[in-house]
Amino acid sequence: MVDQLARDFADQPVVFLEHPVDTAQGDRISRWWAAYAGGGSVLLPLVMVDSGYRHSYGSVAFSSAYRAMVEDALARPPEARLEVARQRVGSAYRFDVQVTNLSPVTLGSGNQAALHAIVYEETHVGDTDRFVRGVTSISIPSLPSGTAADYSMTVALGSVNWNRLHSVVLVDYRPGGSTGPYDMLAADLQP
Amino acid sequence: MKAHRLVVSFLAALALVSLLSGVDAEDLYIPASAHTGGVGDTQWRTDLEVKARGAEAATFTLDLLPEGLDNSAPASASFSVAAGACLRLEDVLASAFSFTGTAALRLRTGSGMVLVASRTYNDDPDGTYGQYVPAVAAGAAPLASVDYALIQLSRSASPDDGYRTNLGALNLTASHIVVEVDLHSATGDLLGTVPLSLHPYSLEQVTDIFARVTPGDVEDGFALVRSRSTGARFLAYASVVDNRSGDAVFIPAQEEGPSPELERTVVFEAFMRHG
Repeated sequence: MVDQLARDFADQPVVFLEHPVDTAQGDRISRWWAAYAGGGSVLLPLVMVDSGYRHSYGSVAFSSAYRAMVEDALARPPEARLEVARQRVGSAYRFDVQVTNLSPVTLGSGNQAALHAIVYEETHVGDTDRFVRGVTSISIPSLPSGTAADYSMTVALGSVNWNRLHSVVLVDYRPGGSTGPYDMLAADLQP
Repeated sequence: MKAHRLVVSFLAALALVSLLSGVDAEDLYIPASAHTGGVGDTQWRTDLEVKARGAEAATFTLDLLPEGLDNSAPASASFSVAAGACLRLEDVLASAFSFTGTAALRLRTGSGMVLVASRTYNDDPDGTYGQYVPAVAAGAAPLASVDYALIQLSRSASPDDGYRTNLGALNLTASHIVVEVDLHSATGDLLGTVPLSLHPYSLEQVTDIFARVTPGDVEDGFALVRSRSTGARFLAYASVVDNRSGDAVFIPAQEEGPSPELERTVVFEAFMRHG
């Protein structure tokens, strides 16, 4: 189903990623739990769009539900500008990122703003053709509205097919401060 | 109707919009005025001229909008002009507000019609060098999602030679907005982007703005300014100053065309267990 959606949205700026829930790299899953805001057991798959702007879990009308989540997100303007330079350094990718905050809020520790890099391989490893191989993130200490700052991140990668790697860099924050779902301001895809 | 009673000296290239959300389209703005010292021992002052138009006397209030502040509740001063007469407010920031610094001015008419102009100049003992700064109606100011060009800009790496470009933007709304300034060489190469964060009714002026993106000379350059903030309404201008004499030229913004879309990339993540 996810692969079918990826084909359907192939001409639009949407990236579909699969994390192995039991061995997920990084802490992206914390965004899903923040959006869910509940406890106990939940049914797989856990799905989120734009760091928790929309989320879903368990059995749903996959095609229509996931499509609606993506289309909702596509309709929004980005609230940050990302300039990303990616470079392979040995068995890692280094990302140099300039973030320009176009939102009206100051990004920082008060709203848990962070920059993330996700590297994925276009290979059928799990259930889809886009398997996440590495994730890293850094906190944004303070980035007032209308300002820009530079950041660097490195994602170490193990046994991967370098010819099939892609990556996405995104910036997100928690509009509610210390509670509630996160939201993504912008993302930049590196083919 | 009040809209027909204002005659405004404004930038002809800007489109007139009659109804604006949260903005009084009839307000007149002087985007830049000063009572301050500047680079190279310059001393900047602003004279404001207001003429009562036609056979009626006019009354108006002048609001002080200091640079970098939230000006939702500005200091104000009231004036009147006799029918057929002109009123010159010399060094207006000092004389009307006892203010030192850089500010924009907002003029609201109470009765009658007015014509407005201003001159900001370097008050040199050997003679002044000045620039005309027009009053712009809020209804004619740049909108969100449209690019505006400031052309004939220049920058010298030497402070003793050539020119420098100061660039300013004034928020005309009660909301915070962000203005992006793309700085280009004459060949169109993008040298860099300077974002400006504007409080309500706030002015930001960046001195020698090209220095933010290059250490070198920019013999001929231009800027594209835009805001993507919802409901944005702003003024933008450049002032190109001769580094040797302090002589300045006011450059108004001219409409370039629709802003390029800043595409949103959506990230869909599924946490799954194989099988």
